[in-house]
Amino acid sequence: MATMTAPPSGAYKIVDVPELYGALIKAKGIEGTYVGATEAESPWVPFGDNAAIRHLAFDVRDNVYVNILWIKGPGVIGTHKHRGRVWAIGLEGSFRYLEYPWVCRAGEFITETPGTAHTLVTDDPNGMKALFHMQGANEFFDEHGNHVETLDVWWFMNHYETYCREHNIPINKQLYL
Amino acid sequence: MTMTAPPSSKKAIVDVPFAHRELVARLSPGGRYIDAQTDVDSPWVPFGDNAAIKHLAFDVRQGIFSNILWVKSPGTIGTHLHRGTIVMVCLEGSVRYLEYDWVASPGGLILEVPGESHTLVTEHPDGVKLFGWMQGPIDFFDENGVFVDTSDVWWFINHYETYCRENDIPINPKLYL
Repeated sequence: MATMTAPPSGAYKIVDVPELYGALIKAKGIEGTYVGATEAESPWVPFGDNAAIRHLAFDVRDNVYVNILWIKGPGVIGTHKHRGRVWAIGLEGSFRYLEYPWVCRAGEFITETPGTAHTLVTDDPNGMKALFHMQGANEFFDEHGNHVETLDVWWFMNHYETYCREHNIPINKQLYL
Repeated sequence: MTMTAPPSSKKAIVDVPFAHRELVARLSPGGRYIDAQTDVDSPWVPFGDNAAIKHLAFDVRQGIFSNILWVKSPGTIGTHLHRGTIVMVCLEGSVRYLEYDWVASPGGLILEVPGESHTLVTEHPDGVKLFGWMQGPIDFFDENGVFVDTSDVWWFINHYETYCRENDIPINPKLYL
């Protein structure tokens, strides 16, 4: 059976495509979102002394959260275990997990799967930035392996909203899918 | 240490620690119950002459739809291709796919994954009732293998709402996650 080998249209215009349920989608569908690069749209929220998180999306139906993790200099995000899936892409610097042989640099892509535990390290003098798309729960442990807290979309939302409240930054509805 | 049994059998609501209750109360869509023994929560909507669908849930963020498919006597739902993941439980009667050697009976679980196509047949004198939890579009073909239509969450919402409108049945907001 024939299949597309390239986009079938290169027209630089919006093409009206057949849609039986346009009114339904308009009435009950969810609009896509846009979060620009400014701190007014989403600030860097401190995560310990050497790291910060810039929250980009929260989906409470799927327990999905998307953010950029920034570790500002060589450092560690201690061992944590995933109960859901993780997709990440390196943006700046580099990071690795003590559990694996690879190093993720800018433009490189990794996934992590439910049930795996990791210890995130950056050895780069400038640290790292990476975009994370995470689903489900992350369990954090202390250095003796004692469970400390389980983080999910609600923790990440609270992390964002608490910082916004304390700094009089309006909550950006674009973050809430 | 790990649990070997539920750690409490107390028949009372135990107040469990969770830091983000206010957020959940404010922003979670909330769990819910949709009854299937009567038509009060959701009617049987005809799907051809020999089948009907009782719609149970729609999630437009993930493209998920849940329903009970009732084929009323021996019959076939023609070949269709799945682009998402399907979970089904046989509730009554029996059903099989021409593609496989098993026959599903009440209580049995059917899993279907993206990229597979199936031809659903019931040879049971009373047909079959199947509970389904489905993600992603389903492509339907005619008996010559010519593509006819793609059914996704919007098709299923439209199927439900059109019937409700035509029969003066109020739309049940509980069906919309």
